[in-house]
Amino acid sequence: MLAFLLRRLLSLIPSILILLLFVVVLLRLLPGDVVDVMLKDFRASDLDRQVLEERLGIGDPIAVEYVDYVRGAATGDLGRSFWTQEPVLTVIFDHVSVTMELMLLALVFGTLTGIPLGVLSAVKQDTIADYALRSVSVLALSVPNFLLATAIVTLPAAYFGWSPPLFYTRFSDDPWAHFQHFLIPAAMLAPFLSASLMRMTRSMMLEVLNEDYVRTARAKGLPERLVVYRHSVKNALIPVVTLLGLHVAVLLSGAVVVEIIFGLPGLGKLLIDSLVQRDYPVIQGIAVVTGIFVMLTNLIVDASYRFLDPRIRLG
Amino acid sequence: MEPEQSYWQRFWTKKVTRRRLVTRSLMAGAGLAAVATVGCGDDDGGGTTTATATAGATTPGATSTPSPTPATGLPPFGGEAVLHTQFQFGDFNPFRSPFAPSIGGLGCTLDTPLEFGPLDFELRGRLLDSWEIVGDGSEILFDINPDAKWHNQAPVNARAVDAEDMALNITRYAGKVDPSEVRLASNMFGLDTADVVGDQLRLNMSTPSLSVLNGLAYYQMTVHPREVIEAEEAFTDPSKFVGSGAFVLDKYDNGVEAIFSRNPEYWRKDSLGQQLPYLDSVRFKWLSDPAAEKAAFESGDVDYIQMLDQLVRDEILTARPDTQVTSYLAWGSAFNFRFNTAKAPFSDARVRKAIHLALDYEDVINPILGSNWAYSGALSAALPEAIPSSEISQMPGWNPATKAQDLEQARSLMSDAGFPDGGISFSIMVITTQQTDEMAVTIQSLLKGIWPAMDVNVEVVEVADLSSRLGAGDFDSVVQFAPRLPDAALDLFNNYSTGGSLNWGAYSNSALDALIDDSLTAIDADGRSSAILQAEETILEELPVIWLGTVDLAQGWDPKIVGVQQLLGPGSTSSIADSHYHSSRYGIEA
Repeated sequence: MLAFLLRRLLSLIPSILILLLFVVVLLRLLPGDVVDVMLKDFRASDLDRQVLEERLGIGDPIAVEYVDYVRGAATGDLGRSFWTQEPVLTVIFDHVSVTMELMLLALVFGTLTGIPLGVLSAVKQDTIADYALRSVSVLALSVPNFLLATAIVTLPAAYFGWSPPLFYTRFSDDPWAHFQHFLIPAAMLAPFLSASLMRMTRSMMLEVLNEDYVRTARAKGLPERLVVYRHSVKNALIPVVTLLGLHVAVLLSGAVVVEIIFGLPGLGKLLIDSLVQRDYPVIQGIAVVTGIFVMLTNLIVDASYRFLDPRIRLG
Repeated sequence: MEPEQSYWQRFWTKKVTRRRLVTRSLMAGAGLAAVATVGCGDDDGGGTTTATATAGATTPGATSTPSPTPATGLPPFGGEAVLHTQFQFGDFNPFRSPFAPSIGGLGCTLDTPLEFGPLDFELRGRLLDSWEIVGDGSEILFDINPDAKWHNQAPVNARAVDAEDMALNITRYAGKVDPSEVRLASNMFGLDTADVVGDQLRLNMSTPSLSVLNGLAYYQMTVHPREVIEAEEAFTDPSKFVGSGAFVLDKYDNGVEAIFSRNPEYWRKDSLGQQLPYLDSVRFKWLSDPAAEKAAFESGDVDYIQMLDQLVRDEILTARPDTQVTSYLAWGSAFNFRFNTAKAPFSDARVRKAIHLALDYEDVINPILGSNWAYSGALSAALPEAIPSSEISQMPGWNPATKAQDLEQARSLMSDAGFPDGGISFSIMVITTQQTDEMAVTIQSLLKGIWPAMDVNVEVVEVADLSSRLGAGDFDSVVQFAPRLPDAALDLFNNYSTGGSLNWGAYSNSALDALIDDSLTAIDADGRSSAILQAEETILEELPVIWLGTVDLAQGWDPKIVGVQQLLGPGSTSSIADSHYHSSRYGIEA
């Protein structure tokens, strides 16, 4: 197991290097740079630009910037924000907990609804409940979360003078208010995940429920509850867990929009602000941190197969 | 132009003091009565010059004295206003990014050297109490407001604001220390050095100019204690800012929440002699999304919202019919359609003029602003020295009643320029966040309706791209929400002079440059007004920029906030900063 984890961790390095290459190069291909943003609404002279560029330490060829960045990243130095001059890691860690909290809650909501409903749908195949759940899942997959979030923010305010909590409160200031603020945004992110999990679980369950060992279990006279939960669900979960791992990246991208609508100061808002301000070190830092997070999540998913099915040997 | 002459004559011949303004305001009994009925005394004039004696030092952020007690019959003062902002900044260096400390809440802890009367646009003292222009204008001497002191917080601990503070701030704003701190340098036009003479501040002018005075009243020109400037900590950690303003900074959690409490020793009093501000505290919250801002106001979570867009305004008033609506002609808020005059076809003034004559301004603006805008010539319609909006609206192109003749002339001009069928091709650059995309599409449609052969593209870009391309002159035309300055000569200089800092279209006209130079350097009121008027007329002939309109800025207020109607006028600061600036001026009905 340890050897497997080490091998997988080492195999992440080329992925991270390629990710960094993409981010560094693509960012610099964007029209306009941080100097343009800093000098917007002001027709600056060449000297003004030059002074700012020197102050910010930009203007090197892309290849040099890439090598410098990789060298720094290897020692844990992701640079400093062009705007605040704060270390990028400090800036990111100020925001990452918000995004992680939102994602975790959405994962909990999505998993706790998606998997049981998928099982139920499979067990009740071709009944009204099955049709209803499948229809709802299609609806949940079809409605974009930004639309849902905007509707939940604007409609109750317009018609009932009520809006969900829109102002972020730090956990240290008021834990309950802090938690309340996350509930609705997480509920807005969860439906897509829930519907995907539900459909995958249903499909896998239907397959498993027709397996010989399930028929054997039933023939032994085991109650249906045990047949489903002890013999079927666990065996149906491997693709579901894979899907869950893949959905971490989807949730992360959804969080960007939802955070902005609900005023959550997470990575999403930081990313958008940094993109508008062309704060390359922060954008690169976010890409590195989220990229590594997604890769590690998938590593954990792979490692979990062994626990779900002992026949699987990791290596 | 009589009113403008009298304004500058007053400006030039009188030594303006706050004491004189107080005397004047006390005489305005009827005005006071009107203000009193809404429970908020006007601070016009800044109060008396006697010190606001409060025993002992105050704990930072604490309100050691009770809220002012209103005169009999007035609603009680005090309470907390909850405001919001979208702006989250990283760089708080006021000299490099002056927008950051002037808004986002911090504005209510700070003062500017001078200010404009919000209702009359008249220049008056703030931290600088009065001024005297010496001799030929090569020196301007200022007295410091004797009542102004910094908040009782380290490292200044309630010491008096002095001339050294002022000199350092002005020197930095003029870009004399760091070449990257040039954002407001043009406001300091003609300044050579700022130094201290006795207790006074002296500006030594290399080019005598009256514009520097208006520049000192610009709302972004916030003044900071020299200890804070020298330490530079506040430039990255805004919680380290210490000001002299109406509110004391209690907490600044950037992007989350900022809390400010009443400065019980603020130098400013209302015209009834009552201590300002009325509010006990102001709480700023950050919201990033316009839909969330609207929802927060509709649900009563915030007390203020800006309602630029007509559609949003209608929706808010439907959801909250009790919303108090205010509006005022905002000198700093205007939309323009700027041509790149260095490139064909807009290098030809006939083409620019033809397009102006062909436009229906109401069609372009009304769908966004409704009726909340004013026709503008070369200057913001709110400026006292501008050709009045009522006159502009009667001129060819702007006047809806003469549109048929205007169209005929537009076709003729286009034909004279070599495009009988209007067959020019150009793009209009816009960014999506300013509602200018809708205006550009309307312009496109109007022009194609008149000249079907005209090829007009609307090009949507991002803000960094816009900035980069404007700087490089890589555009045909642009429709944008453009910044303006509260001084006519400076605004002309930046927008139209050769190499001007906002002259993105590279317009160059030596005769106009000379007129703008005259308007900047004239130190007699008549000469300045005459040069400005001539410059405006020249610009209206040449039209390097079409000003689509000056915004009559609509704002919504929770009904518990009283008195704002009396405090908003053309001299108010523009945009969201209003809510911050005026937080020292309104009260809450408890």
